[in-house]
Amino acid sequence: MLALPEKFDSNEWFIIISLVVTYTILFLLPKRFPHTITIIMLLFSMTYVQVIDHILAGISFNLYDINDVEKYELFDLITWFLYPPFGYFYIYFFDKWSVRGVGIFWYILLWAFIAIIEEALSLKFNIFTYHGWKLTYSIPVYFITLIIYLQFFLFLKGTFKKLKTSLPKQ
Amino acid sequence: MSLVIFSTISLVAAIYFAVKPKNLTVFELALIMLVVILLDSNIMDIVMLKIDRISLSDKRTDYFSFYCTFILLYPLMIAWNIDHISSIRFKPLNIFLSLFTILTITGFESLTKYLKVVKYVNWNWRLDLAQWLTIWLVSYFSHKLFRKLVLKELKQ
Repeated sequence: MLALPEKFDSNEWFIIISLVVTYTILFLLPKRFPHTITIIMLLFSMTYVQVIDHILAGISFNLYDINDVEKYELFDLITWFLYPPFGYFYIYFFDKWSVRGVGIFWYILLWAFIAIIEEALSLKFNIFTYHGWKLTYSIPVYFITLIIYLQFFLFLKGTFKKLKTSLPKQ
Repeated sequence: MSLVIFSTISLVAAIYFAVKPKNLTVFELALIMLVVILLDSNIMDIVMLKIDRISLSDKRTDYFSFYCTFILLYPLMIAWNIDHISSIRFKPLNIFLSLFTILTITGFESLTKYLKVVKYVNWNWRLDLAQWLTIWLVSYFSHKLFRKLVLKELKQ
């Protein structure tokens, strides 16, 4: 069994409140994409963050700890559910506002800023404890992540459209 | 040595998988690979950080070998297997091919141990086999459910 936190304090409350707020918004937003794309994008956010955390915070580099203890605990698992809604909002508004050309540059810049603010807040609420990592190191990581995420979304959207037109309708 | 072996195997597998004709859509293959990485990552976190049954070598090249298998090779092998069996109607052959894939992954896991990429402490190949059998089953059934949704939405 995964360990429960020794003390239920600011980081656990921050995680719970963030989860409630972000998932409420996610479910309240009108449907924009086919469920196929939504599921893959949500799963991709979670997997991507887990792999990055596994490499940077796991036993290989151990540059930061997530939550109270170095060991894997229940709230570490729950923390990873925080990321998919942010990834979803990122592509949702990109698609809704039809961001194109130089707009893409400003859009990525805006979301990198949002991500840094979110990480600074997480730091304040002790979600992360750095051992060699710095908040500024996250800036290039967010830029790379946002570009990969957007490219993956555009690829899925394009493929879905192509496959849909090639299949006979019901 | 481990870096050469695992990066070569992973890249050869990735190149072949990229160009080979596939039966499943890109969405289904993405789902299978993401589920495999997600499950393996969580199991590894529990086994390495929580119960300390496996430890990773201190060498950077070994980290790279480990991540080659975990991010690229194993998800590709399971996606490849599920993609392949989806076109075969003969059930015993499907079971044989799936077991062969799971045993091959278990073999690669033992190779990482043999090449000292990881060190097993109270862990053995039977637990690897159980781990990969579970991951395969979860991936297979999640794919089955997801396939219905994909086909429904594509035909709408």
